[in-house]
Amino acid sequence: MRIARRQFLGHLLAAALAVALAWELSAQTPLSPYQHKALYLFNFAKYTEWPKDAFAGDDAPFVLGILGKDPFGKDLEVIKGKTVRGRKLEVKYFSTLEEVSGCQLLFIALSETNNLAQILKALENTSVLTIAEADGFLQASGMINLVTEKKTAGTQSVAFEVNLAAAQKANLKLDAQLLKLARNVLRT
Amino acid sequence: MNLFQNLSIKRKMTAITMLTCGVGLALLCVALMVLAAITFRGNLVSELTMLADVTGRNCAAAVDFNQPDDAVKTLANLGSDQRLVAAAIYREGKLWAQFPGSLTASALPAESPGIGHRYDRALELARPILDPLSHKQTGTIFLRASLDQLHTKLRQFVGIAVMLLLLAVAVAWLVSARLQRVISEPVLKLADTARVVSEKKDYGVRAQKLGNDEVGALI
Repeated sequence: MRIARRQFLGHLLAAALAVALAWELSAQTPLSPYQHKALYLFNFAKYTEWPKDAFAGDDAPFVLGILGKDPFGKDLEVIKGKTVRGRKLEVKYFSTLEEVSGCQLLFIALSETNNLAQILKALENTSVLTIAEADGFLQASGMINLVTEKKTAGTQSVAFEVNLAAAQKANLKLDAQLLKLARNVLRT
Repeated sequence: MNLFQNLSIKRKMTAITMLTCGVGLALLCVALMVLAAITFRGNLVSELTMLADVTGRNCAAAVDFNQPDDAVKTLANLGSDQRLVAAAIYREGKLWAQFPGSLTASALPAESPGIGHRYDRALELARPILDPLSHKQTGTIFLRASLDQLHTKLRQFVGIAVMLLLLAVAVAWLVSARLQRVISEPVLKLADTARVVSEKKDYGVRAQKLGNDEVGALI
């Protein structure tokens, strides 16, 4: 009796899943590189633990800041309306370093590459996960750098490297699974 | 039945005891074996479920970041379990990572299998891979385990049960050989006395009364 019921539930679940998947597949088109990167940003947030004092309060949203010339545009919509650790995801755009405040994750656009050292210096002693896509970002003590890899079939894929020491200094706990996926992890 | 009726009381007693005992024990053995088969299967399912869930959790980030190479490495860790013949992960409903890599595509379901398990020639089990935070399903992990080990274990169990059954019957025979005298002895003695009376026509012979049961009442 129990087995029969379980099987029935299993079938029901399978059916529900099939419908959900069909719906999802129909809605899916291949992701653009920046949609890919936007999803990565969201996933980084998912596998990182912030200290409690990084947020204004229990109901405060999770703020993703973008500093410099925004490369995402509409591509950021793939992560619109998502929640991170029970907090609503909010996006703030900053054009200069002075404006940066109240964000947990900061994406530093290519336009700011020349100011990296200055930006990272200013963010020292804050629990902000810094992400960029610039060579030498980790060496400048940035935390996560996105790298575009060319795959054999001419397709591109996004990989990332992590400066774990910098993240630890900022009191951020990066999940071991995240580190495992990184192409390169700086530990000192 | 005639043959049985012609047996001596002593033999009848032993036969009845052995038969009762044997049938009881055999039923018990069968029940135990069915129970063992169910338990072994249940254990296999719960062990595999655990393995699938742990592996699924370890692949969650790989699924999120769409890095099948990393997931394959995690799946390969399952290779140390002799029972597992195939493992796969489905992402967005499609086969996404598999181990061993040498498996042909037809050896695995092409589309994401429904959550649950089924016994075919092997045990096949599918579990959801959940997002670590929202607990929404992001993929499906599929395991196939060979039942050889389970069958070997069952065969061993049957062997032990049969041996125990034989041993128990042998002991029962020894015990019944002694205990049946309680009933058969007074009857045999009475029968002896009756034979003496009829052979020697000596009506003075008296049977020895051994107890106050129904046989004793005859004396």
